[in-house]
Amino acid sequence: MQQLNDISLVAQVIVFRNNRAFDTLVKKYQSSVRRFFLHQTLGDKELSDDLAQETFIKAYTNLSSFKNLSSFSTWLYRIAYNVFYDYLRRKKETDDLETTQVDRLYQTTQENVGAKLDVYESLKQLKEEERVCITLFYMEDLAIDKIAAVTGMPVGTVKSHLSRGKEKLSNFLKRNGYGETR
Amino acid sequence: MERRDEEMISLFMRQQKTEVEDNGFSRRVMHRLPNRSKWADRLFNLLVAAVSLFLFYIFDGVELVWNHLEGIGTNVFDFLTAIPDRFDLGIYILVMTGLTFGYIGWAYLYEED
Repeated sequence: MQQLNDISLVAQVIVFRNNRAFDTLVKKYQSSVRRFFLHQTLGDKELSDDLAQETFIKAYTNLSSFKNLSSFSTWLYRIAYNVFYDYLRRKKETDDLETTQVDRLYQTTQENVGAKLDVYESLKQLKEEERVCITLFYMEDLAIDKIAAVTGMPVGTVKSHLSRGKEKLSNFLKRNGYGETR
Repeated sequence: MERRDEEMISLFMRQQKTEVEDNGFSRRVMHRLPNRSKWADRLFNLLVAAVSLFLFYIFDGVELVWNHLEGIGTNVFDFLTAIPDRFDLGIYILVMTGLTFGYIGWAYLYEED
């Protein structure tokens, strides 16, 4: 039913140029898209909102290319994923950083004893690809095949990233005493 | 990975998951959308205007209009006293008024979204 509603709204935007229909779609998905970017940027609200705006604008201008081969939400997440990686590429060009150094920006290898146990601290432990897969799996409740469709990675690669991500998260949570209290 | 660890991660993530309040975000997105419809309309209007001007020119529109105005100017009195002629003018004015308001109304409704 949700898929039918989304298709109906998309059709209204494309055929009747009904911007109110697109507004409905934005209101419906703004939370999940912005949350996705908050997790990738480790809590940078301003940057997340900018990237999320860019995502919706790209979705609007390319709406006619939505072929309903996947759900609208999967298509939207794919745009968001590409927007994030475009941002990283631009950042690399500007900062003249190597990929490994970019990873280090979003990753800490130091134990931060007593650090606040929040989701951004936990996600800092992960590489970009692991973070994307973990957040799409746990936070956005996407199945592995959907994550593969969003990221363009093979299913096997998604499973590898998830496995490594879970390992790191598990170690981080145990180090910070999370597992002991349960 | 042990099942216990999987559950721990799943629980932690569920606890950390939050909904993001809109706080005007949707409104800002809608303001920033490219205005496709107005661009297309302007192009269409320009095209129609160009074709109209071209047709007006090749069918000697200027001469026709001038002759018509000249005719009205010299026969005003007869025109006003001649009821059948006035009736034709009345219909003409009604039709043009109707078309004008019809266009304005259509443009207003179309621009509303």
